[in-house]
Amino acid sequence: MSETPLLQIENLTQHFPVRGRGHKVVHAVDGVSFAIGRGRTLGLVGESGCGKSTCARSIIRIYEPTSGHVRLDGQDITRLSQKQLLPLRRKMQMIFQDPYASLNGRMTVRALIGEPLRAHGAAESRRDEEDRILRMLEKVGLTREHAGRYPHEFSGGQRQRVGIARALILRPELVICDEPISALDVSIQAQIVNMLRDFQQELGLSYLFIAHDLSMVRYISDEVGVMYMGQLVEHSPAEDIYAHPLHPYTQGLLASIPVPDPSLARLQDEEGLSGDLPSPIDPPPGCRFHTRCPHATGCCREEAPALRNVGGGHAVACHLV
Amino acid sequence: MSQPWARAAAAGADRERIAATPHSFGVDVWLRFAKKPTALAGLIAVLLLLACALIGPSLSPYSYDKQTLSLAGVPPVFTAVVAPEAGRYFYITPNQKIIEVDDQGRLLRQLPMAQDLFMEKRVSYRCGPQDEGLVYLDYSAAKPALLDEAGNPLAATRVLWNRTYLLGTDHLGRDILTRLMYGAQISLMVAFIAAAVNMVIGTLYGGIAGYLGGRVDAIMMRVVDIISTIPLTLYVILIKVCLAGGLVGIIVALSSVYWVDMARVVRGQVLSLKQQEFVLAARTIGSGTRRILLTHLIPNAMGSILVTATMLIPSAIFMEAFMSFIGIGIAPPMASLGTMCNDATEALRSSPYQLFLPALIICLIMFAFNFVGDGLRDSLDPQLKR
Amino acid sequence: MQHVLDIRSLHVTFHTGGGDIPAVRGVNLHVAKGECLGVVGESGSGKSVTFLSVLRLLGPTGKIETGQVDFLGRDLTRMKPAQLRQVRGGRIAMVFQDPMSSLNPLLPVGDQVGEMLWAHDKRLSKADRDARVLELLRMVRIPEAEKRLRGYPHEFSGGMRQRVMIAMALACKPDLLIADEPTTALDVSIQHQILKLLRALQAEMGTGIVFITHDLGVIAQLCSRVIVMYGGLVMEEAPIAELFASPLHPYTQGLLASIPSIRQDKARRLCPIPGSPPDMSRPPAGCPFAPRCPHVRVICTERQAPCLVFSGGARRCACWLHSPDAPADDNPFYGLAQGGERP
Repeated sequence: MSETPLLQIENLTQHFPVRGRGHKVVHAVDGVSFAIGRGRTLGLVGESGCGKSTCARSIIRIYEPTSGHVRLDGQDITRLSQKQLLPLRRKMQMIFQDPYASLNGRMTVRALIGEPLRAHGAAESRRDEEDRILRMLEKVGLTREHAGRYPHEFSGGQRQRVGIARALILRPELVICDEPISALDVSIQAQIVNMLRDFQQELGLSYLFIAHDLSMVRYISDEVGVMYMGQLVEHSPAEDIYAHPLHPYTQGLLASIPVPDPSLARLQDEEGLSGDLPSPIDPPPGCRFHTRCPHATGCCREEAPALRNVGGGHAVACHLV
Repeated sequence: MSQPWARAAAAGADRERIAATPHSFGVDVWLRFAKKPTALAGLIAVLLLLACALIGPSLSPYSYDKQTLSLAGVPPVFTAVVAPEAGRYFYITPNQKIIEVDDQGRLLRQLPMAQDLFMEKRVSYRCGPQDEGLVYLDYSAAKPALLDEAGNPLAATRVLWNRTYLLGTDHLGRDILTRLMYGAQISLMVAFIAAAVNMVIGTLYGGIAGYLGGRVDAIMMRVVDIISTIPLTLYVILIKVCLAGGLVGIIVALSSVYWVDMARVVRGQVLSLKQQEFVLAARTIGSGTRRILLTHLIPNAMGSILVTATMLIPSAIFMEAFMSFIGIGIAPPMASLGTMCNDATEALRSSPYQLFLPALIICLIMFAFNFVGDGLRDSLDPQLKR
Repeated sequence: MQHVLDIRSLHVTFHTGGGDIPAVRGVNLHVAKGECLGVVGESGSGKSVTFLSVLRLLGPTGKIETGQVDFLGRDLTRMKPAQLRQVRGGRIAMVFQDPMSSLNPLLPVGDQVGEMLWAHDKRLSKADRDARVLELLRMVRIPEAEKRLRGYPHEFSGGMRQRVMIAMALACKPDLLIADEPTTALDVSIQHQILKLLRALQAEMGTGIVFITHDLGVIAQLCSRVIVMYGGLVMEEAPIAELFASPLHPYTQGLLASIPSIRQDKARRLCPIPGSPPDMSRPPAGCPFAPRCPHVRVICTERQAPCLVFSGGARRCACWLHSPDAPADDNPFYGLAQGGERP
């Protein structure tokens, strides 16, 4: 198939100036490239500060990318003005992490879900708007009775469903999910993941699914990308990355997950990762992971490894593979 | 409990039901506000003051500017001398006139003077109903005394409440109660208009500066800095002197200055709010700047805006009173609390009540609004919400 | 085995502006000497409140209505504030979720640990104290502890700060350490380090640990016994292996089914628990889990289930379907666990 992917990111870079430190910048995202096909899901994982959320926000132009290209449906949107971008926003929506902060507490659920319709003038009439809001509410498992209520009356899971309804009411093609489940209780996380999977099948959506919980990501993703300090260090089909992680960081990350099974290997046997993240203002030269890598060599300290394909759609940025 | 072990229907809708009765943010705030005694007391005081100020003057039999010079300078409570005839009392005013009072405390008339016997340091007044008979006012001592026709001092006195003018009259014989209510009306009007104008200007200015940020914000806030470096009082006085024109002048003067605080507060709020996810969400949805500002940012900053505005009212009242006091505010015969204080300073020694009463009202207003503002701040504070 | 902590029929209510919230509604539990007890539950299950009330740290709105909290034979609910202060931090220590706000940003880290020591032993000399602080920081594996001693909290990463908090908590060799979601704010790799540290320290010092979390994975790695809470009540208590192998309560079953495992088949759908947790300002009359339970019976919606004891006292479960009175037909739980009896 030579069809153009729905979303294509090339060398996306996002630097933020550091206040009062001359020309120093925070290297939030440094040269990330990936693509998401129609109806596919890319899971982006990594620890806090690795740049995965920044990456999402640069794609949807909350931040203005420093350099690189974002192509939606083949069209380069990186340098479009906000006005030119407006019609394209219908194709691309976002679900946020914090179900408490991402809904305006002074608006009813009806107004919240209806906001995209009004911003784009998408509803033909008042009736049509109300119809579409109620249908959307039903789809996320809420009822007409909920429409007149305020977000603070809802539980976390219900709020997140309102957030999903708001993102999906315009029938976008791409939904960027920025840690949509990390603020929720365990029993609710699965509800949301199932709901997102159902919507994907029904509407043919593509997701960029960002999370730090590797086990949930596996459930929803076709492919998984692992980020470390603003760079993509490993990228492969989902099953592959869990079965054969190649990058030492991915291996460490997987080993760190506490397995909910007391009979399996307990803590002391697993290696995990040691040390802390270096400063993103002065990232280490060479491979950015070498300060914590158990296998680091002289080469790793000097030369930055490029993301190389090692077969089967599995790409990794490590000198040792 | 007929069938305790029967399967209960687990309705899907039931699982999502929200048991609480729906109420908006406003109702929530009110419930919290009503739980605070000081805030509630402040609110009641404000409402009472407003009612008195708005309805009071029209219920009063006197007008704020009608002068009854013959009954000038009578306090709300006074000590009257018992006249030789039963049921009659005489009150000696601070400027040594004699006012006849009945046993209820009603002011009847000023006694006509018969003769000024300045050699003997006494003045004779006709005191009978048909102007027969005389009383003498002896001002030889520090405290003037009344003597009957025979020259014997009338020693018996009685404390009476002023029934004609409940809070007494000022040095021009105007009813102080009416003037207080009228003055409060003017003061509150000035304060409310100034607060409303400041709220609109400050909110828009601060909102735009905060939302646009960057260079626009820097320039706009430097303008605010410049305005706030000029001493406020001086600035208001200058504007007032240039504009003259009483009431309008003072409103313009107050409105054009106080918004800087409001602008700062709103800008700060907007700066922190615009980083919140719900504003980012609105941006990714494609909502325009105007929409984001008016439906997302300002309603969420409304709490601090209201608190600041409520706190602004007492300071505007104080500023108005101050300007009127130093004589560049409301022009006579209009009354404001400040002009009343000013008028009272002349007769401060003899009639301190004339200063005390308007000063008390100013205090009351300031306290009440501060309590309301405090209560609003607490009940709007999202920290206390959970 | 001797119990360090014994909580008996604890009821805690928050009296807020929006009405009363009965956050804990009759909790019974104990912590044995030197064991690591895991407490799992979702937000609002009352797990944190239960242990905050142990040290009477509920804040102005929270009140212990009834119940007893016996710590080594002394009832903490009746203790005078001065005595309680000696217990707090001295005999019972706590580590909280947010290591960012638990440290004073204006004081060097070493001084803050030292202050903890000084507060509980005024006879300690300055030199002894400094030596002990250094020892503590080394114990929690802070690299270059001598240098870090003079550092300020902002120079420490989240994981390092949580280590400092653990050092402070262990400074006075407490009998009990209450860790309230200590790793929730941290990344997985840092969480892994902290969990390893806690395990090692427990083996070394024999301190009883109560580990409060919502993450069953963490519990499985660290704890020997688990208490599952929901809606202010204890739903189930079991030794760790048995809980994962044969959960008795429908809530525990649902919880285990809803977490995906790294090794599980991906094509299978996740089985979430439908619905939302109960609104604790209006708790359900019967079992708090009844509105979400797939096996719900009429009796469940009317009366709270008694806490039944199984496996000779090692397990507890509050579910009507395990009751000896429950009918056998259409009951998936019938005979699942033997010896259900009222305590």
